Amino acid sequence: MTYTDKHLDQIDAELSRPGRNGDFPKLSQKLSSDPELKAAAEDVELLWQATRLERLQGKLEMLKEYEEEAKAKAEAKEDKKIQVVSMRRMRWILSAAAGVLLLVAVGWWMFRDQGPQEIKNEYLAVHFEDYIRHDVTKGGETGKYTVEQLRAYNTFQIKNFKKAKRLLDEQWKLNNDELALFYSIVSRVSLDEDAQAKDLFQNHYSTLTTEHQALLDKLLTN
Amino acid sequence: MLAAIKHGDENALKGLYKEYRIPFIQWMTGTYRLSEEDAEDMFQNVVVIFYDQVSTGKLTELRSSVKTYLFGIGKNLARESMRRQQKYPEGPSELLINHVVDDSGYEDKVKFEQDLRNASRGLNLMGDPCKSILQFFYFDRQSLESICTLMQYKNAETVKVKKFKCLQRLKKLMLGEPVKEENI
Repeated sequence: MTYTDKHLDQIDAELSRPGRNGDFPKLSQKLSSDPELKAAAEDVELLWQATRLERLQGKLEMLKEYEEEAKAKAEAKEDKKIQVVSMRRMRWILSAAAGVLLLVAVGWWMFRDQGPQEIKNEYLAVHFEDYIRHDVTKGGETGKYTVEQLRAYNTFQIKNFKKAKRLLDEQWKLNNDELALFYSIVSRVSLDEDAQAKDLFQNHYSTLTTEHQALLDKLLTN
Repeated sequence: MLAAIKHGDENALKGLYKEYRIPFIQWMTGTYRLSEEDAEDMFQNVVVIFYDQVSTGKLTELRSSVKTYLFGIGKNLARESMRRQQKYPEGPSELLINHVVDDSGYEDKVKFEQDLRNASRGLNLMGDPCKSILQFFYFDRQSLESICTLMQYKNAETVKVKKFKCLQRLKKLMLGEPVKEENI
């Protein structure tokens, strides 16, 4: 069915009438008495509906893009959050590691095996060999002393007086080891703990052998 | 809000979408067993249909809350979608085609749907300036004088002649007839 521009003019006039805004009028039904006019109205309405559909699809695309943007933003925010958490976790791990290192360092410092120490008493420094009173031969190591005694004595002999003092005091207290008491007093003198050395010497004087009494007497009076 | 949407305020539409998106998806996934992705697609269509009803003047005032209204559209879409599921797989744009077809008031919906698809295809094949001239005049209700200024034509009469030629061309494209590439 063909129509002319005159038919379109009629449709345009109908569309221009007041109250035609908004919903598209069903012109094809209204103008059904004229087949050409009806055909023109149908085409115009189809055009209108197709444009409506196109605009709606445009809005749909707009919302889809908006959704994608919102998701991308949320993901970026989540990544940032994870990074912050990772940073916090890393900081926590580093702090914990630093704490552990500090504890290890303090522990090492407290319980470290100290090497040979300088003998502060001049007399003892010269005559230290005279104050080694246990049997240092190989035979002496095998049965004469217990392992603990030998460990304490050897520690004294290598001039690790701080550790030796602790080991010797144990032997003295547990086994009334007279030689351990002697070495303990000598260790204290070497560590510049003369007052303690003198107290031990006076309090346990009778326990010590005559030889040890004499040696300590010389040491403490020099 | 309705006024803002009617005047094409995209932020109003986005605000609406943002506000009811999560409750709608939760409702759809819970009640209609839709996947989250499908429920999201469905809600986008719901908001677009809401926009359509406002922009075409079918919805001028709300007697219920916006949420109830949107959920009502969603309910109809979900039911319709389930009903048509066996006929053809529905994509988002198919939901909008169904909406326009159902809303057109035509009794022969099958024929109208076919004509609508042909008209959409024809419009896209035709391209500018014809597409813009026809859409400005018949959809946006721009006067011939406005279109003349907007598209820099000599006068309104020129636009009127072009409009007629463009409609004829569209008709041919809709019918699948060959169209000469003439300078419109």
